Amino acid sequence: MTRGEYGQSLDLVVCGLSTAGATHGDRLESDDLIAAAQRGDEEAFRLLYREVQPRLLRYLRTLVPCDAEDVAADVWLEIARGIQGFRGDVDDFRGWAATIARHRALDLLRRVRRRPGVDIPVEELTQLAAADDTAGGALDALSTDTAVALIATLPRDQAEAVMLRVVVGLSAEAAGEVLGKRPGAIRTAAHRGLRRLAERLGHPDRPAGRRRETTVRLRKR
Amino acid sequence: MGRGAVPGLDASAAESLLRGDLGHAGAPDVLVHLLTAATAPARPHELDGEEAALAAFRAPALAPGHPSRRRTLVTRLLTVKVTAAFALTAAGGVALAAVDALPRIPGVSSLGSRFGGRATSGAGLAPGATTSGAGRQSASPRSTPTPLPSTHPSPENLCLLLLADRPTGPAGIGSSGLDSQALATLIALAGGDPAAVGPYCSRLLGVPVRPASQLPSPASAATPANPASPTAPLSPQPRSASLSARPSPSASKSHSPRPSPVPTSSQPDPNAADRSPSSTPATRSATVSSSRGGHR
Repeated sequence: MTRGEYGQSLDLVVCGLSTAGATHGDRLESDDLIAAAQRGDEEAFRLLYREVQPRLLRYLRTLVPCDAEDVAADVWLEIARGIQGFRGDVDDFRGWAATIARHRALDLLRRVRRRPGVDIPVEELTQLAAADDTAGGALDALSTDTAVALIATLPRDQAEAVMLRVVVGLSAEAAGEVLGKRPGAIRTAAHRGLRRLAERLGHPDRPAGRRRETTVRLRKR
Repeated sequence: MGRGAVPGLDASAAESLLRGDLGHAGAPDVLVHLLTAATAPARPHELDGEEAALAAFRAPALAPGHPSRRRTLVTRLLTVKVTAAFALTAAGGVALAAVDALPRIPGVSSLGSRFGGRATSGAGLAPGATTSGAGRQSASPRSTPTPLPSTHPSPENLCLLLLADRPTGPAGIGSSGLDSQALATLIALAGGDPAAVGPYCSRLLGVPVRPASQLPSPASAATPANPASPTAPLSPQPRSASLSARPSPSASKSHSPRPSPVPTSSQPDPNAADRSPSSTPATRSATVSSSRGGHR
């Protein structure tokens, strides 16, 4: 598996289907994009933004649910300043952006926690989780926010591992670099997180036949 | 996919989900739904920061110092204009004193009108001088009886000088480019308390100095000119005259030679402080462009 396939689903979605990126969606050549942005090409930077920002934002929601937008804005300032010195492809770029985002978010968490009387974000997450229990029966209609909030109810290492891998689109190795852990630890955390989510969602355990149909249909795409 | 702890999620299914392969056989539908929702297309509000990010991208070298850069520009412009004004004022004052200062006190106003007394000056940057110039010409017949310290700039100009030369923060008052006499005057105007100088000036000038509309009206600018204080350096005519006597281009030209009515010995620092922040983006962009070249 090449690294490029990690982020595939969101690439297609973000740049192929969304109105904003529709015209450029078919030309997301990663290395070209980075190089063009480094030459000062605004459109390339815009595409990078559209490709990465939704992922970053959702990842940040698991860390700092109430300040994700603000932190993401800071992250893009830093990216804009540092992109000249960046080396790598779009996958690396996602990892770089996630690293910046994580640092910023953790800085914020440290500041917030230092102040007494301020809600600890983890508590907010569990509240979100409680709200999501009611949505268990209507999983088909799960909104993105609910899904992210559900993932955010996991222990943080698991939530981060799942988000970095599935949503940000990083390999276990790249996620490990972001989190400062070994790939094996990332895998373990992510698998545990998925299992816990499945448990929490009640695993309706649909008939295998239907699932395979879905699989085949999806694969044909 | 037996009914273990988590049915339907073995390691390979989990791994394929994590890779984004949401159609992998053996993955529970609930998880597929969940992760599909989590990786759904970008919604418009998620891209709200796009223009801000692009703006930062357009000016990466300036982005970190944006506010300070703006401040530096204003400060520098003020410095230029005010310094020029100060120089001309001093010269005018001397000339005035040499010609016929004492016998003809009303001559002050005549001198002022001879130079036009127009309100040009800072064109919004130093509107205190502007308004006072306009206001005073009409007010000049009212015999402002204290043209004596005519070598001093008006309170507004003193404040502008202080503002322009102050390196950063109020601590710089003592080390600002104002000469001691001017500073003493300013302190006296502010009520004798050095700490009151800042509030006094901000009251006088209006805090955001740029838009003329936000600045004190001519009336309020003239308030410190109450005749009660004989020490108040109130000889606006020569000052506004000199301000208007020079078209602004000459004022900006005079930037590089930088006339020094202020004791230069005591103030190389404010100048350096003025320039260094602006040189940083320049050097940064230089490095940026060189690294660009290197990348290509």
